[in-house]
Amino acid sequence: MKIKMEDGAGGEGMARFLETYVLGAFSNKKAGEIGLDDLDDGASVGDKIFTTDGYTVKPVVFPGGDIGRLAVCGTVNDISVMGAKPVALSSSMIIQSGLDIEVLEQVLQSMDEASQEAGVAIVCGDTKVVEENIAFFITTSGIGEANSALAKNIEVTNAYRKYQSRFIVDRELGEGDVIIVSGTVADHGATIISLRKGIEVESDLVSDVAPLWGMIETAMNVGGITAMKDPTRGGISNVLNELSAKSGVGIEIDEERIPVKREVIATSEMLGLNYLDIASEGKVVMGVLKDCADDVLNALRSTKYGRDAEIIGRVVDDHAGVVIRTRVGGRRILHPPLGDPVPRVC
Amino acid sequence: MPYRIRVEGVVQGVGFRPFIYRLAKLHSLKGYVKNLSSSVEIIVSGKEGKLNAFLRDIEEKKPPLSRIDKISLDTWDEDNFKAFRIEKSGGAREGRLVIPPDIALCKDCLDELFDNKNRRYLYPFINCTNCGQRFSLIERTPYDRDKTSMEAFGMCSNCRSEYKNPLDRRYHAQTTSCEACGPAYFLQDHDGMKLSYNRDAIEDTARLLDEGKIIAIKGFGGFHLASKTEDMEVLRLRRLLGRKGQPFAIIASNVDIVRSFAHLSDEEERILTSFERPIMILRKKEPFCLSENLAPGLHTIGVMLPYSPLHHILFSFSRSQSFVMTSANLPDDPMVTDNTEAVAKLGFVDYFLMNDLDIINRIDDTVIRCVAGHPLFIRRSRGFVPLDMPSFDSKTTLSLGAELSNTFTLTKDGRATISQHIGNTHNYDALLFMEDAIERMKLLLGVRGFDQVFCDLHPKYETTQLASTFEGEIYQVQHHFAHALSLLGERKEKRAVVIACDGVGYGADGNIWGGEVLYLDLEALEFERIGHLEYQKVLGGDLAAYYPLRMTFSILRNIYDSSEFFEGYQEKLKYGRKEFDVIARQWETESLVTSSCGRFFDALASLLDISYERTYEGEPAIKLESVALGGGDIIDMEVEITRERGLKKFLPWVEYGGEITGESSDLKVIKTTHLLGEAFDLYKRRKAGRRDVARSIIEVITAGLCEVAIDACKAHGVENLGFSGGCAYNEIMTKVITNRVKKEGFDMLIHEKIPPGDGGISFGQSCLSGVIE
Repeated sequence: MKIKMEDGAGGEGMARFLETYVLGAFSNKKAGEIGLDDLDDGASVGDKIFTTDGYTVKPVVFPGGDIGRLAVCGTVNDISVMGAKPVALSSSMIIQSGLDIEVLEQVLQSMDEASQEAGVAIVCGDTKVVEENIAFFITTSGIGEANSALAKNIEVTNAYRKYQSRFIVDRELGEGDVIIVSGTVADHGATIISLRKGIEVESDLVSDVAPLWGMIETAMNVGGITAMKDPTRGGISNVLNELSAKSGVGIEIDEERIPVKREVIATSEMLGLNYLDIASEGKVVMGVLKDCADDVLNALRSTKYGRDAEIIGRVVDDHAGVVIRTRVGGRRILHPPLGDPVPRVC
Repeated sequence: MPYRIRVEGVVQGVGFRPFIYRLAKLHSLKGYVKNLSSSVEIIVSGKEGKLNAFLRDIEEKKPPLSRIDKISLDTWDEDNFKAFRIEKSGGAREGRLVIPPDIALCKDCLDELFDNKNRRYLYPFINCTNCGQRFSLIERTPYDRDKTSMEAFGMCSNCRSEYKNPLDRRYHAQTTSCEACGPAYFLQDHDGMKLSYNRDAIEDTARLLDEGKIIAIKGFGGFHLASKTEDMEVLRLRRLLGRKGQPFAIIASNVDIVRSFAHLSDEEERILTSFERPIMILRKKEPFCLSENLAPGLHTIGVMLPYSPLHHILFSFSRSQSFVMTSANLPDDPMVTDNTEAVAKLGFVDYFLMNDLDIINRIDDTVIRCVAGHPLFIRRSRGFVPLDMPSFDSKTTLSLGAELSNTFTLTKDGRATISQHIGNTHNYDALLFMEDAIERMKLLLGVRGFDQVFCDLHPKYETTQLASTFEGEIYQVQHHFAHALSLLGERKEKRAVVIACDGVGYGADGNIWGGEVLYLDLEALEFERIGHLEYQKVLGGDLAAYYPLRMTFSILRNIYDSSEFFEGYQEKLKYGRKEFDVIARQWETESLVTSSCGRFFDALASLLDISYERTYEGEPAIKLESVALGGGDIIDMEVEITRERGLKKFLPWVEYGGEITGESSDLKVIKTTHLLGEAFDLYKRRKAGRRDVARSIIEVITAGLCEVAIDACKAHGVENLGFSGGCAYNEIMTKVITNRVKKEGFDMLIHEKIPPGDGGISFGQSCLSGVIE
C-alpha cells in the first residue's frame, strides 16, 4: 500500500488513516486532560494548550494573504477554539533553494503582522533549505493559556449544565444548542482552488485567513459556548460531522442561512465542488446554549472578523449525524468529504 | 374422507373465503374455511367426486383479484360437520401470505356509486372484496380490519349485516363502510376551516378546479396535486413546485377523452383500463389539445383513468374531462401521505381535499410505457406492489438497490417481494421512508433477520451506507451486472449476453460505467465485461450530468487541438465564457472517465440544441429521443470498434467494503468520439436536419453495441441476448436491438415484470442469493 493524497485531505479518508496508522503507533499520548487520541484542535498540558500544524500552499502568495499569515493564523486559531489565549509560537521553515528572497521577506513580514495582531510572540524557530521542489513549508507550534474569558464562558455554561472540561472541547455539544458560524464560509479554499484551476479571480474573492483570538475572546466574555472548531480542511461538512460524532448528537443545518459569498458559489458551481466541503481560514463554527445564542451572535457581529456571523442550525434529537435542509427545500445527509468526488447522478 | 386444503398466494382480502363458501355449498360439502396468518385453510368433507370438482373449481373459478401460488392437500380426522361455515381467522403462521395491492373500483361498486337509490350513492369510500384499497391500509397480517387503518371506524349495523352475510359481495370485506360509519372526505382551507364534507366537498372541489384552483387531494397511497390541464394552471403549478420541465401526469375521465389527445394502441388501452390503472406514457396527438407545458419538449404524455371512487365523483361534478394529477411533493421528497404534513408542506395550494383515513403504506402511481409495442415498467408501484414473484433461492435476503428511482427487495422462502417506489434516497426523507418501509415489509412478511444483504458498489450511495446497519453477510454488487441479473432473474435464465446501458453506475474498475456489454453464466459462475462505449472524461463530476454541454465539449475536444471549435456554445453555460475557460482547463487534467450511454446521449442533445440542462432524471436523453423519433433519413456512418486492455473477468460482487479484482484482457470499445464529431460536422454545416442526425447517431451507436454483443453470443455459444438499464426505455435502441437479434436468430430478452431502470436494481441484486452460497 502507498500513501494517497486523500490520506491527508481531511475528511473521512484521513480520519481512517490516522486511526489505522498513526494513533496506534504511539504509546504515550497524554500529558493532561486532552491528549492525542481526542483528535481535538490542541492538547492540554496543565492549564496550557499546546498544538502544532504544518503549512503548505501553492501558490505561496495569494489574494488576501500568504503562507506566513496562514502559518501564524492557523495555529493561533487552533489554540483559540480551545478557549485558550495564544501566548507563544515556534516557527520551523523548510525552503526550496532558489526561492526569491523577496518572497521570503514578504512571508516573514506577514508572520510578524499576524502575530502582532493576535498578540502572540514568536519565541523559537528553525530554518532548513532543501533541493526538492516544495517552494516553502512552514510548521508552527503554539502554546495558549487559560484566561478570564474562558472562565467566564464556562461559568455561564455551568449555570445551564455541567461543562465537563476546563477548555472548550468538541465533544461537549449538547441537545438544544444552536450552531453559529462566524462568517462567510469557504473563502480561502475557493480562492486557492480558483488560482490553481486558472479561473479568472473575481476581485472580491480573497482568502479570509485571519487570527481569531480577539473575536473568540469577545464571544466567550458573553458566555455559553459549548463547542468550537475552525472549519479548515474538509470545510464545515467535516467540522459539523466531527462535532456530531464526538458529542454523540444530531445536527440540523439550514443551507439557506449559511453565509457564503456569491463568488464562492460561482467558483464551486463551475468546478463541480460543494462549497460546504471547502476550507475557511478565518472562521469558527460553534455550538452555543440556546438562551445565550442571540447575545453571542451579537458579540461576534461586533468584531472585525465576525460581522457576518449567522445561526445556521441546531442540535436535534430525532437523528444522529448531520442533516441539511437544502436551498431547494429537500433534506439530505451531509457527509464529511471523502476525497475526489464521484458522480452519482443517473 | 375429510381433507385439509391449504391455499397460499393472494387469498386474503380478495373475497376468497366467500367464494369457497359458495363453492362448498354448490358441491354439497361440509366443513369450514378460515384465514390462517399467511394462508387459507379449508376443511371439507363429502363425496369424493364432489371433492375433486371442488378442487378443480378453486383453480378455475377463483375470484378475479386472487392468485393461487400453492395448494396442498392432506387428510383430516375430524368429521362431524353439520354444514359449511366460515370460521374466524387465527392459527399459527404457516406458509406464505401475499398481501393484495390497491386496485381500481370494480364495475359493481361503480354502478352502486351512481345509483341514487343505493345507500352508498356518491360515497367516496365505496369498495368490496373485489376492489379498493389494500396494501396502503394494511399494518399487520392476517388481513383483518383491526390490523388496518380502518380499525378506527366501527361498522354500523347495515354494514355489519353485509359483512356477515356469506352471500354478500362485502362478506368479510375488511374495508366495508358507508357514510354513516366510515371515513369522510372534507374540503379544508388555509385557516384549517372545514368547508364541506364527502359528496359536497367533492362537488366543491370540482367547481374550484374548474375555476382554476390548485388543490391537494388525498388518494389511495398519498396526496396528489390537481389542477386543470390548461396553460395558466399548469404554469402556476410549475412555479409553485419549482418544477421547470418535469412532465405532469394527468387523469382523464374516460378512454374516449384519452383518444382525443393521445394515440392509443389496443395493448395500451388494455393496460390503461386494467384494474391496476397505471399511468401510461402515451404518444401525444398533434396538434396537442391540452397545455404544451404538461410535458414540454416531449412527444409523450402520462395519462391514467379514474381508479378511486373519488375520481369518478369528481368527474361527475366537473366540466373538465381531464385534470393534472401529479404526486404531491417537492422535488425528490417522498409523496405526502399525512394530513398534518400536507398542511405543513403543501401550503402553496389553494385548498386541501382530505380524509380521516390514515395511509399506512405510501404508494405512488405505477408508470408504464409501451416501448416498441412492449409494455415496460418505468415505475412499479400501486396495483402491483406488494405482489411477489419467484426468486432463485430460499434464503432470506434484503437488497437495497441503488439511489435514484430506488426500490428494495426482500426474499423469503423462494419468493421475492419488490417494494413500492421509494424515490431518490440521496434525499434524507426518502431514505427515512425506505428505512420505515423495510421495517413494515419485514413485519408483513414475518421476517426478523437476513441471511444476506445486498447493496450497490458505489461507496457514496446512501443505500450502500445503510447496508452496514443490517446484520447478515453484506455484499456490494456492480450496478450493470445487477441490471443484467434482474433480466435473467425475471426470465429464469442462467446464461446470456446483456447490453446494459444507462446514465451512471459505479464500475468494477472504479470508472463510471453506463454503456456495457456483459456476459453472465450463473451456473459456471463466469462473468465478463465484453466491451463498452469509449471512456470519455467527466468534467466537474455530477455537474456534467446537470449541464450536458460539459460532456459535449469533453468528447469533441478529443478531436480538436484547441477549444475554439466550441464557439457559439459557451454562452449556453450557466456562467458563460468564464465557466467555459474552467471546463477547458479541467479537460487537460481530468482523470475521471465514463462509458455512460446516457451521458453520450446528453452530449448529443446539447450539441443539437435540444437541451442544455437536466432539470429531471434523464431529461436531455428523453428529449433527444422525442426529436429523434421524428427523423427518418438514416445517414450512413461507420462505427469503429477497437480493443483496449481492461478488467474483463471477475465476480461482479464483493464483500462489503472490498474491491473487485479479476483478470485483465482485451475489451471491445465502441468509439463514440468520431460519432459525435460527425454529428457536429453535419449539424453545424447544415448538411442534415437535427432529427435525422439524432436518429442516425442513436441507431449507429446501438448497432455498435449489437455488434459486440452478437460476437460475444457466438463466441460463448449463447442463445440469449438481453437489453436492460434505463436506456431500454429508448424506443429506437430497443427496436434496433430487437430487429438485429431476430435477424441473427438469437432469443431477445427484455423485461416484463421488472423495471429496466434503477427500480429493478434491487431485484437484480437479490438474484445473487442463488449464486453466493
